[in-house]
Parts: sequence; C-alpha cells; structure tokens
Amino acid sequence: MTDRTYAQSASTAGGVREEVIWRKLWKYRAGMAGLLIVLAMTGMAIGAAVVSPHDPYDQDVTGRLKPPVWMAGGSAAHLLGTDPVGRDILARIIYGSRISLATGAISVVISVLIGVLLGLIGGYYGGKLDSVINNLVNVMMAFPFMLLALTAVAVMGPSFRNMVIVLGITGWPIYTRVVRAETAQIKTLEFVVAARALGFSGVRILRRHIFPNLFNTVIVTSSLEVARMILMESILSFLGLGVQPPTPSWGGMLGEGRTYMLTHWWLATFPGIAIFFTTLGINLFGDGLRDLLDPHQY
Amino acid sequence: MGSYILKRLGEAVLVCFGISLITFLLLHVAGDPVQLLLSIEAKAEDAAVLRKSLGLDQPLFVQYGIFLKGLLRLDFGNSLFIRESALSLVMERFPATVQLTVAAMVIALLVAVPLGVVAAIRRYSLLDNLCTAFAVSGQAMPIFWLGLMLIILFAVQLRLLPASGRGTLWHLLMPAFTLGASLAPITMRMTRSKMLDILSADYIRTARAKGLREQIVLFRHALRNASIPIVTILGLQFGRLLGGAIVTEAVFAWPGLGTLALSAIRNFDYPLAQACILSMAFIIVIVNLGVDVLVGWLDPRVRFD
Repeated sequence: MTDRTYAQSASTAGGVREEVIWRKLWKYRAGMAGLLIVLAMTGMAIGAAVVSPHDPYDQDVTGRLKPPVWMAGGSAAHLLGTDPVGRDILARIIYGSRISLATGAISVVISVLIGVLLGLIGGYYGGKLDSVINNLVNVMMAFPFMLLALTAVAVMGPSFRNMVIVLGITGWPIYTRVVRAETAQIKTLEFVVAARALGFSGVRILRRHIFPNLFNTVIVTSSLEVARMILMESILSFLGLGVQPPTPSWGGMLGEGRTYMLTHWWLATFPGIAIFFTTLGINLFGDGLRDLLDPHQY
Repeated sequence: MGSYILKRLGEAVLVCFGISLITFLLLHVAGDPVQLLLSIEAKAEDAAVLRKSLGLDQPLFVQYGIFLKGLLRLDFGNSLFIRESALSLVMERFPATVQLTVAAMVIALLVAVPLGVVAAIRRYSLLDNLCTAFAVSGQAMPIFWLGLMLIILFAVQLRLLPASGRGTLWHLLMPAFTLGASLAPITMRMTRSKMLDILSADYIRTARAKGLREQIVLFRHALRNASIPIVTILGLQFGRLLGGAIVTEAVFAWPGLGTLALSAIRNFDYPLAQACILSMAFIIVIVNLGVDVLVGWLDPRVRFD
C-alpha cells in the first residue's frame, strides 16, 4: 500500500523530507532484498543438483528422524536433520523449491493469458460481451477460491499437472478486473481515438496501443500473484491434494511433519520457513516494482 | 436506497445462480462421480446400477434441473456415506465456523485498527516502520504453518493450550488467532493508508482549526470516515477468510464447515460437497450484499454511483 500523500508531505514539511527519502530508500532496499531472495530461490531451484548435499529421494532407515546439526544427536552430514524414512530435509527443501516456483510461474502465466485477454475484450468492446465477462468475474470472485481449487483438484485427481491447471484457470479474474477497468479508461484517450479514426482494427489497437499501457499493471499484479499461488500450492500439498509423495514439496513436507509434531518439531518447521521467505521475497519485490513502475499510485 | 438495494440483490441472485452452475459442472462434468465412488475392480453392471440409483444416468441438464429445484427448497439431497440430509449436516457444523471466523475477525480488528491508526499518526516513526514490517511478514506467513508452530509452542512445549478440538474458550484461542493473523495485515495497511488520506483532508484541518481536542478529531472525524473503507475491505476479504477457515479447521481439527467440506471432497460425497460449497459461497454473497447495503447507507455517494 502506498501513500498518496508522499509528494504533499515532502513539499510542505521540511523536517519530514529527510524521513521520506529514508523511507523511500528503505522501500527500495526492501524491493532489492526481495529481488535477491527471488534470485537466490530461483538459483537454488535450477541448480538443485549442484547445491543439494544429498539426493532428496535417498532413504536411510538407520538414520531416520535425525535432529538438526545444532541439537544433541545431530550430525553435519544432515544439517537440518532427516525425515521419518531417513531422507535429508535440507535436500528435500532445496528440491522442493522447484515445485513451488514452477507452480507459481506456470499457473500465473495461464491466469494472465486468460485474464488479460478477457479484460481487454470486455473493456474495449463493452456491450453484452462485457457484461457477460463482468458477471463471470463477479461469480468467480464470490467463490471461495480455496474451496474451488480444492474441489477441482480432488475431482480431476491430485497431481502436479492438475494442480497447476486448476490454479491457472481459477486465478484469472483479478487480471480481468484490473485490465478491464484500465482498458475502458484508456480507450477514451486521444491516441486511441486517433488510431481508430485512422481505421486501425480493434485487434491492432488493443495489441499496439492499449496493451503496452497496461503492461506495468499486469507485471505488478502477476508478481504478487506468484506469491499467492505458491501459498496455494503449499496448502493443497499440505492437505494431500497437490503434489504427491515422494516428490518433495514444501507443503507436502509440512503435511508429513505434522504427524511428528509432538516429538520432532523440526520436520514441520523448516519447510514453513522456506515458504515464508519465498513469499516474503516475492511480495517485497512486487511492492518495490509497484512503487517503481506505477508512479500515479502516489 | 430502495432501488440500490434491489439492484445489488439482483446481482447477488445472479451470482448465486452462476455459483450453483459452476459447482454442478465441476462435480458432474470434470469428474465422474460413479467412477470416483467405486473401486477399480467394480464391474460395469455395478456402475450402471449405482449410476441409475443416484439419478446420474439422466441427461445433464435434467440433472441440473433437479438439482436447482432441490436448491430452491434448500434440499441438497442426502450425504452418500452418512445417510443424513446434507443440509442438516451443514447446519450442525455451521455454528463452529461462525464462532471461529467471528472470533478471528474480532482479534484482527482489535490488533489491526489501533496499530493502523497509530502508524498513521506517527508516520515514519519506528513504530510505523515496525507495523509495516509486521504487516509485510504477516502477509507472507502461511497460516497453516503458523497454526502448526503455535501448536508446537503452546500445546506441545508449554502445555498451556489444547492442540485441537472445540469446547472451551481455550480451544478457540489458537485457531482464532491463526485465522485472525491472516486478516490483520491487510486491515492494518488499509487502516493506515485511509487514515493518512483522511488526516490530510480539509475537514480535518477545519476541525483542528476550530480548536477541537485531538482525540475528537482523530476518533470522531477521522476514524469514523476511515471505517467505511475498512468495512468494505473486510467484506471483500470475507471470502478469503472463509477459505482460510478451511485450512485453519484442518490444522486444529476444528469441527466446522471446513473440515466437513474437506472430508466430503476427499470421499467424493458429492451431495455433501455441493451443500458445503454452496452454503459457504452463499454466505460470502450474503455478507458482501450486507456490506454493500451498509456502505450504501453510511455513504450516500455510493448509492448514486
């Protein structure tokens, strides 16, 4: 959330100005920190085979449920300990980043494609088609997203592919809502009217004249949506409706670790920290991006 | 006001109709109930018998017609496994979910609104920055993980609170806090940014120029005006709150609508799943309608938009 009063307070009170600059810098830094986290996570996902100390599927029944290295009984071979079948937790977290980031990225791409297209059509052409699209958005927005996703995945059969498809095709309304409103606004501007007067086709106007003006909004919205999708993935996998074992996913690890909560707290702790930092990084980056790309928010 | 309410009501009915259609299609077209209910070894004849007994051999639109007709009489059919009317099962669990969500909302408001107000008044202070940091990390927190951590800390290590179930007020504490934590950050940020907007408005300057006490300016003039967007955002967030309730209930084995919905979805008890999904969606529609009407009543400008 940004403050619309930045400019005002900066110009009126001299004492505040310095603090405003500090705050902006802090925000910029927060955005940079977010970017660093995102880059680190991406690097970890891509280079999992190099970074990971163990194979995430390697079981070792004699070395099961080992605590982290700093606790009594822990060993440097398994920094974050091992799970109930002796797999290295750190390795599974490192490989789990692949599932999280892939889910976030692919499902957001699907929703953006659907949502932006419908928003452009609705906002530009208006009329009956627009009211159909608008009503559909209202219906989708009233639906508890979680329940919709849970049901759809359960019906289609829980798997990585189905989960991504479901998240993708249920996540579009937010883009439609944003894009539709902006398109309706932009189409009344002079350069669009001029393009229309020159006889350009609607598709060309949308592609060459309107969409470029929406690009920033879509980028900012979708960067924040990636975080939401990652959270959704972890919830679905936690409830056993997402990625299926033995594939390592953070939510799935939390679900497994839950059974051992009474005696082995670390099983359910570390994957959650991974989810937290990833979503935090993406949110910080998205917020920073919004401040950078969307100056009229102030 | 009358026509405004009527318009919103019409939209709400349309949305409910759309929701019923999507739910029906999701459960009947995306997956085949009979296939999901029977084991893999079941013979084709058995499948046909089951299909007929459930009325699933009829054309889809006939099935939807029957479903809609039942819906109008609030008849969702019987649960496939518990042999009881799906609606009565839903009603049985309903109070638990209401209790949880209301408690979560109260906790979120009690924490978020004062913090948001203070953050706005003392803008850019250490406290403001702390509040922002708290909100940003709160938004990144997976609430089911927060729930698990609370259980580990308060139930397993300190043995202060019960880990699961419902009964006493102590049982409510952790689930309500967990769910409330999902709502508090956005409420705080919203309160802060609305208060900032309002505090720079002319009528606040006028109120101060009149020599009103700062408390009166803040609470009677500023916060009262900020309450309208806060109510709106709470309404918009209600769907997410109910979604969060499903997960929270799963973590704390809270016997509400969420756990019922989850088990119905898992067992593919589709009449019960339909009843759960639709009742939750309808609650969201009704709450949003209520918020719209409330805001329209509080702020006449909205009505004539």
